[in-house]
Amino acid sequence: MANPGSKPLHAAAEVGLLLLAAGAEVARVEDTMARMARAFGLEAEVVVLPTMVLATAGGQTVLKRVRSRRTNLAVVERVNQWSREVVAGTLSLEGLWERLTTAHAIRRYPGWQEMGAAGLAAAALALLFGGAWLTLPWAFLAGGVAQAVRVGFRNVRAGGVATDLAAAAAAVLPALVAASWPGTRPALVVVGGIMVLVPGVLLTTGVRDGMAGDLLSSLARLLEAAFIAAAIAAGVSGVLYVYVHVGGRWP
Amino acid sequence: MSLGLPADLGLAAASAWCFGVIYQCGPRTALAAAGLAAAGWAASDLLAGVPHLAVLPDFAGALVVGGGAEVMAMVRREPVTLMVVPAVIPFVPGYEAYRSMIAFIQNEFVAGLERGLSALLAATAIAMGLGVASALTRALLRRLGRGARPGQA
Repeated sequence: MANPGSKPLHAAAEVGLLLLAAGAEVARVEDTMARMARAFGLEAEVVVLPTMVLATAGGQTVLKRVRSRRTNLAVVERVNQWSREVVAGTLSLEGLWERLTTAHAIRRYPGWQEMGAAGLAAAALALLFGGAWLTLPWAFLAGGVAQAVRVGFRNVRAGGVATDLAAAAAAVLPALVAASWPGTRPALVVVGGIMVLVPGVLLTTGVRDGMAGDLLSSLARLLEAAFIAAAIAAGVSGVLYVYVHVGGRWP
Repeated sequence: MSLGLPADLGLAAASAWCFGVIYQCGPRTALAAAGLAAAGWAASDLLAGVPHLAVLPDFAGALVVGGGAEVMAMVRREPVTLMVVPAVIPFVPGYEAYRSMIAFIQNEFVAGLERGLSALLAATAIAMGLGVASALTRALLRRLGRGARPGQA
């Protein structure tokens, strides 16, 4: 339970933690925290690093560690709205605390819709990169399977690069079947599947953090994106290497 | 084999919309991202036919996506990230990265490095496009007196 005297500062820090864990860029997190604290009558100094948020005002300091990160732009969107309401005076501190207690559960689409969208995205990208119509169902399957693995890992609260490695390996499986199917391009099935796993938020926010002068966060995010890319490459290469070396046909 | 520019624009838009859903963006935000992806793809396609431009088409596509997202974010009063992330995914050089992986698996290390570097260059061009678009658009909006509003970063 937060100290009542420092509750506004705790609320601002919680908001920062939420935004950072959901994938918002550092400049946005710092700005939102400072604006919220100011709206509650505190002139706070805030510092946000890739794994922690720190807010200090009136001799009190609140530090929160980011223990798990999960990209969820619905949270960024929702907190942006709360920030506006707080600044406009239409959302009280108590109201904000109430919303913060359920904020971790904010999701706009259930897992099965995410899987469907991933399948469609993979199919659209396979066609865009020059695939024939026969490639489409396999690419849909590859994207759907990759996202299903990610959702599965998320549901058991497992994370890290192991998720991306497993999802990439799973995305290759439909391509192995497609390889013996005439008229398909298994390469594009794989590409469609792994595009779903691209760490888009990390790459984009890494670049934006760098442009905003938050170099530490930029480096950390781009490094994490590089790890994920390496895990995807390892997942795909591992399965294909075994397949080819046991005599599988790969065009 | 391309299906033609209109089909390609539709596919870029469709994939961006789907990524909007994967990243949990709202339906209208995902639609805005789809429009941006199509506009970026059109800009990229326009330059893709010109010889010796290397990664300039990727840069141009990302520039259009980044600039458009900044303006849309201001109009819709939403964070830029919501629109720019799904819209830029179709530009990610996934095919080149895949070809690099395959070359390494087949022990063709020079080809693998060459393709890997191509993918890295394309990714850098996209990053630069986004960065330049963000810096330019923000400077322009500040000059026009349309900077950040209360509650908005």
